[in-house]
Amino acid sequence: MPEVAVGDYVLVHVGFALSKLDEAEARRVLEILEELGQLGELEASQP
Amino acid sequence: MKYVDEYRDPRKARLLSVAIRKAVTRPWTIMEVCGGQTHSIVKYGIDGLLPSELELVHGPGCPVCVTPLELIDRAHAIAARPDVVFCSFGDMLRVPGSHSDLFQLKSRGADVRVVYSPLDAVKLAEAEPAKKVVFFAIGFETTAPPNAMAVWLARQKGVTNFSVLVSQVLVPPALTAILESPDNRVQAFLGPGHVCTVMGSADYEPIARRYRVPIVIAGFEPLDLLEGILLAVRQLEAGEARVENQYSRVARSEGNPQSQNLMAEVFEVCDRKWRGVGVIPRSGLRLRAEYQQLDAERLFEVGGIEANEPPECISGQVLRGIRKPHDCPAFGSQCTPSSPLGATMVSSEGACAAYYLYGRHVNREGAGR
Repeated sequence: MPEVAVGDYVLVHVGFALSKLDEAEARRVLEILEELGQLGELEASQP
Repeated sequence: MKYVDEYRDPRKARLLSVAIRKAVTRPWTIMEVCGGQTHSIVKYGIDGLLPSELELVHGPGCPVCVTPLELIDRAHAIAARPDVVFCSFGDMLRVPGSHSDLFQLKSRGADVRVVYSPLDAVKLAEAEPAKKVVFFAIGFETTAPPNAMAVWLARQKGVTNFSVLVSQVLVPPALTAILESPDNRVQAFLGPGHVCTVMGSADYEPIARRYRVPIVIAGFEPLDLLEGILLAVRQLEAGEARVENQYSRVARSEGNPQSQNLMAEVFEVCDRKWRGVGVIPRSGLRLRAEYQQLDAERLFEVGGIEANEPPECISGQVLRGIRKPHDCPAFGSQCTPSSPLGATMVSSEGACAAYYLYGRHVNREGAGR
């Protein structure tokens, strides 16, 4: 993977880097969940 | 570890679990395709966080599990030869063939070695020119590019004592075979995150459309799986059937073009037999004609070896999502990870091994043994 630089996170499988981790995408799901949590709606309805 | 620990956050997992409960109004059956996903689901108890309407069934995405018994017997016939160094990933060593396994062969003097990367086997061939080094090239699209690289490199370097025993398989034809089966129960898939990292998602679009099944490409951590299930449930409840990508931090829609080019250079599509499933048309890879001098099956003339499955093993039905490991009378008694009858009990990615390892000796409803 020519576009990879020191400090990047990559997915390694059997000794090969198959993909560079997209840090913006990585944060996306976590941020969406944070927003859900802040609404408090889901936590309040937990059994 | 960064970008791993965050996806194991228990508070966020609870939030997703509640969101799934709110989204579900009726029963649905979802198959996670990958053995790695099955392992995570059982290890973290993800299925225990789901409402009773949702059932997860475990898919065929375990490379060791779907490698046919006759290929394993062929591997053993090659490994037993005195002039051969047989190299494999570690989880293949305990897989029983019809007569033996690679560990037993090793204890009887065969030169069997575990390698971490297929390139290690090429290095070994260069270091031991008097030996014939054979690498057992099994796996899905994720492992095909590294295996192709080993073959390509050996040919480039003129390493004539290196060959590969190929048992490469492809996911999309297997999903089609599951959906075409008259006893199919699967209504949505958690798609294979790492296979799609290599191949992209284009091959899944026609499957989602034709069979009206949502396919959510998903990762392997608890939050990945729970978010994948939530996205699949939302599609099912809305009557939609699209390819959606939960694992966008790693898998991109176009996949990894360099990997795809390397695979296409070395391999071509062929029919392949899947253990427990049978022959699926155009579901595998074999070496192209230009690389046939590296084909161990041809070099050692083992292509004629055939095998019969142990009749008591139900791994084929487990791999197609028809039955669960604890439905098998041999599970946990005759069949354990130290003495496995079938491949789903051997590989750490196999559903039976995951159930055994994490104490699922009875099913959730208490109706098990």
